Amino acid sequence: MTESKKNIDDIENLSIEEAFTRLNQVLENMDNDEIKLEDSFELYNQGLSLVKHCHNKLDEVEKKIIVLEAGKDEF
Amino acid sequence: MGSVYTVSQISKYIKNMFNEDYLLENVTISGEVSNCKYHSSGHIYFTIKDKDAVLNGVMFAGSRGGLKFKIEEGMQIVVSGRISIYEKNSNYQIYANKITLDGDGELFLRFERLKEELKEMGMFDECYKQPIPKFATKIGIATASTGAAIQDIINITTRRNPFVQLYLYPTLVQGEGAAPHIVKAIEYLDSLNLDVLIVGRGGGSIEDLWAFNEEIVARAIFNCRTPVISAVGHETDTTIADYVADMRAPTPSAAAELAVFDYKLFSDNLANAGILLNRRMKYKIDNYNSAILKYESEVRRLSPKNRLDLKKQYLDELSYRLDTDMHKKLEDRKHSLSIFISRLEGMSPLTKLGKGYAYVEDKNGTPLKSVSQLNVGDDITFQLKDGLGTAKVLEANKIEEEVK
Repeated sequence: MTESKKNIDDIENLSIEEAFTRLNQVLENMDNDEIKLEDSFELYNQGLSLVKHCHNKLDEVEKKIIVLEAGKDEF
Repeated sequence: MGSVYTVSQISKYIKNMFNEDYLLENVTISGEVSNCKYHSSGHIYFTIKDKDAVLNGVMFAGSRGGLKFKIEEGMQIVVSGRISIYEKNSNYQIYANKITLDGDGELFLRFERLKEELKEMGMFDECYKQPIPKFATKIGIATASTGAAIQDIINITTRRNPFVQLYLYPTLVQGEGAAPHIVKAIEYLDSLNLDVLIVGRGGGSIEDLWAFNEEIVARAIFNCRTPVISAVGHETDTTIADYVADMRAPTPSAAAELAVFDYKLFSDNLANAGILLNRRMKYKIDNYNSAILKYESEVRRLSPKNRLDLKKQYLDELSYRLDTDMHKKLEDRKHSLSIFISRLEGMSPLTKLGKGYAYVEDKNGTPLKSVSQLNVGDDITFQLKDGLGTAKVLEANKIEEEVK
């Protein structure tokens, strides 16, 4: 598996915090003039995947509070 | 006049009176410590007072088991013991066998003692604090289902991020059985693999909050694998739970602010990251493009073709100059020639012939320039502009020059 493929797959398992940290790293790296064009395409793809992942990570459906039955029995 | 007694006798008498009194045999008195001396013998001498009266007291070294703290001036204490007379100066005083701190003071002392104990065990140590996740999506709450705390938490969650899932374990938060119940709630919520727990209740008296000062609750929080935010009472209330929790929130509302991330900020940040990504990518590509253009023109400039082109151009220029120079020269010559022609024309004998002159020659074709060449009767040829004629010489007279 290539490095890039691995990076993209890794993203699936990141928490939102980790994804944000990675996103900042990606942006920082892209800012670096030394980085090769090919690498910056790679970074760009990673960045987009990270943004998408962050959105996916949060199931954007309004939640109702769940009152646990285990606690109710005690009263 | 009755009997006369000695001082000792009367003192003894009074002492007996005290000793026979059932109430004074075992009495409990509350008051403020105004004077206290720990004697080297191990006895403690003290005075307690209220606003109208003072009472001396002593706790003998043998009774020190009934004292769990160090008495200090100003403390509100409850002294139990018997009241009797010290015959030597006929003073009555309380012989204490148990001294406790009064009310809140007693709770405070328990609090301080447990705090010290747990602190020494390292349970408050920073190294055990787990970070509170910034983006928790599943939050467990151990508090009363009817209290203000849960309402505050729900309100703040709804406002900041309605997509966060709250799990409430309804919990007894005060009174008998509250502490073990809180422990159970923490353990149960911990088993659900949530992102963070909020454990707490709204404001109340120190007794109301007491469950959060119990060691079993502290231990449950300490052992909890899920990060715990404590949120007990108001800003000014600090409980053992607060010390041992991974983070202390001054109120349940504040706990919700800490646990629930702001959805709008989150989505703005994400959108912003997307924009930045695009901008930086475009910037990168633009940079490469302009670099390519620059190199391209550089390469063109230095290429042999370019140099060849230059030479060709130079050659073209030379050849053009050659052409024009040549052309000019030709024109010049032509011009000069036409001038000669017109001059020649002016000098042509033919022109003269047109004006009444004739060219005359003898029959042998010799031009006749003088009458001396003429003999009467000779045939001569004369030429006019447009043809030849012949004539016969009839006369030839030489005109003498200078006839005088």
